Amino acid sequence: MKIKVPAILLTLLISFSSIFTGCKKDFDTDKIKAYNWTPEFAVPLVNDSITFEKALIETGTEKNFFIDESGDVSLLLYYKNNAFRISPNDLLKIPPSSFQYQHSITSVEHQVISSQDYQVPPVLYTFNLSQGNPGVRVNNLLIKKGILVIHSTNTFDNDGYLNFSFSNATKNGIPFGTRIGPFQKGQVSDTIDLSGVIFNLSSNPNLVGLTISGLLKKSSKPVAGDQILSNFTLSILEIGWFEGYLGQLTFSPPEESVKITVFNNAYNVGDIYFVDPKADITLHNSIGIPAQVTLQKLEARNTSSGNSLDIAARLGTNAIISIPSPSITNKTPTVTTREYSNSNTGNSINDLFNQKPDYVDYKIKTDINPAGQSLNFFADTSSFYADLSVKLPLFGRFSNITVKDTFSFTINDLKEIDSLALRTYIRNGLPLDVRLQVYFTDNNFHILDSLTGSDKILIKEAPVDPSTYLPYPGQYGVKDTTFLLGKSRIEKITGAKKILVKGVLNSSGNGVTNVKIKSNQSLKLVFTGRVKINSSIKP
Amino acid sequence: MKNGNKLTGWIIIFFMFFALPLQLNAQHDLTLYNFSPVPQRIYENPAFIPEQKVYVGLPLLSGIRSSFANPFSYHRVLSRTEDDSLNFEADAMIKSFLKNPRIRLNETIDILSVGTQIAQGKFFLNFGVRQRFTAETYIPAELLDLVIYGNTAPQLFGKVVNISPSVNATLFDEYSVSFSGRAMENKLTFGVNVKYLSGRINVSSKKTKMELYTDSKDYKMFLRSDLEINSSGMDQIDKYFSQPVTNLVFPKNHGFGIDLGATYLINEKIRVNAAVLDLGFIKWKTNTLKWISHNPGSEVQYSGMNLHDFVKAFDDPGGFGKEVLDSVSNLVKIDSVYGGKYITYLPTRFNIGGVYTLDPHNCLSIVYDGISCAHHLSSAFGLSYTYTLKNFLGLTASYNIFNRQYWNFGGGINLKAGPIQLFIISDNVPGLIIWKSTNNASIYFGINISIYQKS
Repeated sequence: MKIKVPAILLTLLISFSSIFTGCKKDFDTDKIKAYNWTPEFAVPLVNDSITFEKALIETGTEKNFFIDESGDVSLLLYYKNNAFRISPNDLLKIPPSSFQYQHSITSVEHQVISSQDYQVPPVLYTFNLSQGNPGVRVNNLLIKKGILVIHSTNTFDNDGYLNFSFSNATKNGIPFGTRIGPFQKGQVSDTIDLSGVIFNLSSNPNLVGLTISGLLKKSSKPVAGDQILSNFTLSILEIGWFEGYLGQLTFSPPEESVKITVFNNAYNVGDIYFVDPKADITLHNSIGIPAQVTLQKLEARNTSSGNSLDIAARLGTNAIISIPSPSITNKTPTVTTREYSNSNTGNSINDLFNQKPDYVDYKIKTDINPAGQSLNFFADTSSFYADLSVKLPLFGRFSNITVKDTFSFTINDLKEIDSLALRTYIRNGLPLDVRLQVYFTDNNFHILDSLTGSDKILIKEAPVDPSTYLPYPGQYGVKDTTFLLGKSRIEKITGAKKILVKGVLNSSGNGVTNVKIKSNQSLKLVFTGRVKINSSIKP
Repeated sequence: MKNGNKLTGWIIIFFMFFALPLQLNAQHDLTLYNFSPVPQRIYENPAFIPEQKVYVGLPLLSGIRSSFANPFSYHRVLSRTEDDSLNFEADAMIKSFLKNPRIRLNETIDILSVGTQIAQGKFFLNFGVRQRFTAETYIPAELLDLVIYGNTAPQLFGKVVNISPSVNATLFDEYSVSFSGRAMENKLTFGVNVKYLSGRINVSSKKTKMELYTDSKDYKMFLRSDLEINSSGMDQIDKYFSQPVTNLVFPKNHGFGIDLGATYLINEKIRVNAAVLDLGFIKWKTNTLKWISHNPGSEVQYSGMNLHDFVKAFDDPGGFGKEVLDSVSNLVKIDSVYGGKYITYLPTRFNIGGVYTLDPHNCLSIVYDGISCAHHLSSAFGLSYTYTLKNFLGLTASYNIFNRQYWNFGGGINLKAGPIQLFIISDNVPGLIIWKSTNNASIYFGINISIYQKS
């Protein structure tokens, strides 16, 4: 049979045979050239509306400011809790009291003991708690921590004991007394805990009575001539509650000096005027003692200029603050605030601030019971302390206030950025304008380039209503700028490690018009970037 | 005869007007479908009763089928320069994905195929064990635009685009029994193939929405995602072979499928045929992991950082760019849900064809093949001519349209020496030879022991 096979099918056979031989060298990926990747990305970078208050929180500087209920902002030039403090243990320290008890056994007593138990006759001792504290009167005293230490040197052994009974003393509502025993020959020490013991001395102030008695058990010992000899020391280490009178005392802690760090003293460079600067001192008293505080020194010191000004003497009667005692019935602490402003200090607060101080030195003296006898009281938790602050309400004018800050700058593969268009839209709701410059620097802060060349970015103020010193509602200063960074400028900043931002602030009208800063005044920032990449990708 | 010609004409008209406008972009085994000497074509239509009395596919060599379809060809994306190096042509690649964003890969290994005539050839019983892998990846051109040109590309800037890719890939074992028979005095053949499916690995994208919009004025970015991807066996896939052997052989992801087919002899020259394949499902419950959008359908916006974070970003050791990228990518939050069960359906195929017998050795065939996968129908059309000489030589040549390519010339060879039968088939022979110029290729070859009726 003759086989007829179409030609096209024969070629098929040949084709299949060539499949695996014809394409051996064809996956030549090593010949593929690097791909020049040039995408362009448009990215929103920043979209933020920053109120003055939010800015303070985000920069961690809110502790340097005070915002009241109406949103008025004050710069806390200096604020300190516990500018000074008086604690209960500073007020009354009772020194330890010591006494000796001695009893010699007579031959009569020996004869009694040899046939029956024998009651040792009681002996009364009296302690004066005002010892070492002249003028102090103790009516009631709760011992928080205290001990009675007894060192005995007896010459015999006996199963009997000594009784100790405090007059007008209770512990947990029960008359307080204790005993030690049996008698042992030689030296023996005992400690009696007095914690929680209350002395009610209203009828006989300051004086604590202690009666010592005892019992000797029927025994052949002691014999005539044997001795009971005990040395006692009463120590009141901490007072839990005191009622009485502490006398007239003066506390005068050392002078203190504090550094002013707010804004890194940016205000030192420019001119600044605050309409109503203030300093105030707030005293908290939960100790039941009336007091009088005297501000002896309030000095502003500028270490750069070497100038200083102490305004304490100019405060006049305002330098002396009377602090009432809280009531013994409700014990609510009294809070006394004294505010110093230009109006009550003959403008001395302004003079203080005009020193542009980097240090404020102050000294405070406290006299207790300045009017003489009264009922004093305190608990171990009571305290007397002062908070001191210097506040500058942001109401005034300023010019050429220069602020600087640096940030790390890390952009990997900057070389692969062909161009960058950075658009900044800034809507300023604050009554101040800013001339801003952004520098790119190396690690040693050598400037490599700036964002705007020799120009500065001027962010205009929100227009100010002169009658309110506030920006007109809904009016802003707007700045919309696009910065184009071509390849050559990007190359200039390739080695940049830091961004240095320098801003010069002026209040409205180039620092001539008074303005008010409110916590809700805001800065709206919208930054966008359009970046063109030019990167070589190798397969 | 006259009626048969009319029918063929109508079939051609059907393809011209209805099928061709559809996306023609799958792997369809068009040449095998009409190459009668190969008994494994029973898997393309269970009514195709093999000519062999008995055949046994050699284990693992019974049939190995591999095909892929790309949106682009090698030459389209790599152009040669004068210095004999190659340039990557991103534009061309994106244009290719714009036309056809799907990449397909199909592999089938016949582990065992055995078939025998019964009842003196009236019926045919076939057993088969096959391992099948199907994968379809959808990559939207917009995603490539974004990666290659950035979000300022005109196709993206100021427009809402879905950049979500999707992937549907399944590796499974198929254990099948088919029964075929003749009726109506051999005018009609019919067949049914019942399959137990044992799923091994699956990834299937159920929801694929990730809409991106970049405002062309202030560059604000808006993202709306609704993603849901199921998987089985993917979590810790590096430890896949560390599983107990029983789990490896039977991974407990059970499924069932069925193929149905029929042919009808209109007259002595013309036979028409049709089949529905892979009507079935697999229920996945082993080592499942679902990735799902945290807030499906909700729109998130990235309009920039706050000033504090912006300043901090410059201090990030990874660099400012990474911080920005992280800020944008963090907008899409995906939850991982372990455990659970889900069902995937096999890509169902539909074959409709016809054969015109010229003489005992020569015939012309036509076939339409459609694959329904993930709510998407991929259509293909094939026209073939087959020559057979008794049972020891078979040759076929075909013209095929698929994968948006209109110039696919397929072919196949079947040789038999004694009981040994070898065959090799492809829907696109030039694609195998000049593979740099094609975006698809397929090959199917195997060895059987085939025994024919002596008559």
